[in-house]
Amino acid sequence: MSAQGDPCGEDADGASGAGDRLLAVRAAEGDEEAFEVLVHRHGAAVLQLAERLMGTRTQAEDAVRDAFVSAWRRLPEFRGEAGFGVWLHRIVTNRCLNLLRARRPVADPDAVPEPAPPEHRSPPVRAAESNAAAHDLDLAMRCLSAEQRVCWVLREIEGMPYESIAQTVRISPEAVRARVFRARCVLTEAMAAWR
Amino acid sequence: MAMNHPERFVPPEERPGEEHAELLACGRDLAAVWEQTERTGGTERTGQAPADPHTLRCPHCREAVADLERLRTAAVAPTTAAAGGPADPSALVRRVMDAVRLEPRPGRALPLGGADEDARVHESVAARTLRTAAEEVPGVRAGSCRIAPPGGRGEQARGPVTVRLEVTVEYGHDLRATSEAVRRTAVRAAHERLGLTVSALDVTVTDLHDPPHRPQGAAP
Repeated sequence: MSAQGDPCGEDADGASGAGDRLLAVRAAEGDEEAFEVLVHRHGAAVLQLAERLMGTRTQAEDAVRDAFVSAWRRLPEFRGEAGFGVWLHRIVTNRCLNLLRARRPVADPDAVPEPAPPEHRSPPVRAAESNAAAHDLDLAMRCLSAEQRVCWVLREIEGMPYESIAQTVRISPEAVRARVFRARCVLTEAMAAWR
Repeated sequence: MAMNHPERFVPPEERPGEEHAELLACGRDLAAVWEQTERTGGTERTGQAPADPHTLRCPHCREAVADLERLRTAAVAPTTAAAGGPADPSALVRRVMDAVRLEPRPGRALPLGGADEDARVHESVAARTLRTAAEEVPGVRAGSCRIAPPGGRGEQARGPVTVRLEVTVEYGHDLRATSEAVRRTAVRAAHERLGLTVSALDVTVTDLHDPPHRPQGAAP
């Protein structure tokens, strides 16, 4: 899971030799080079998360850039309890959540094109099939509310515990469970053609 | 295994909230079947007793579990967004840093030289120089570095500055000797690289860290 895989980076012996905590302290005091190392270290993981949440590369990159700028401004209030990676994932998630909420109203599930059954696709190569399934999933995800989408991605793809999602999105764990469940209902229904 | 014992299964009627109201044809609560799948890793996982033996036999439950597993398979496939190939991390870093450099820096500008000169160095730049110098001492990583001009917060005050530098030191090093070496090196760097005179430089060891990992068999 990317959010919890070495979130503190304290073992890193890379470019700077310093762990995330020290780099965050330096960056909070205005050291841009220290911050650049953190961007290098965590950029790919949060971009992947943002792509899952936003569904497009361009919007994901914009969200990640804004989230990093927000992190730079807020570094003096970062206390380091949960690690820089976890803190950054929260900022990116909330940035994406706000952007998703601002999108035009959620699509009507009936308005999403019915996915073609797999037997109508050719050639039935495994890779092509999985790409087509991912495409159908992308379409179906447009039917989810912002909260459902975020909770589902954090749970199913990032593998986050329900309690951590609740802290990130600032709703109760019960509400997270309900949203993940609703998202699964909508998405499994849309994927029924792949049975 | 107590956690997965069939008796732990919570029947649908005891589950609160209408969000969990989806019942399968067999009467089982869909949310409960999926949560059970999450705990046990699915129906096919070997060496793990299913939480509810019913799930293994029941075609409705098995189909619900298969639906979830199919969804997960599609979910971990490359996204449509990523179909254009992997993002270029260096381009992302550049975009981020371009935006960050437009932000105002924290800290103040420290005056350099004599009263008739108008040269300044930003505290964050001076601090980076001192941290770099401190890290020339073996086993040292530098963290916070605060530089105060004489007379406290007065922007125009000139004269020797005072510095508080926090470092972490690798296990096995003599802390006192290391701190003294950091102090000497940083004071010299302030003078030689910045032209700043330091009246006091306090070094605080805030933590100890492990030596860097080396590949097995590599020379130390």
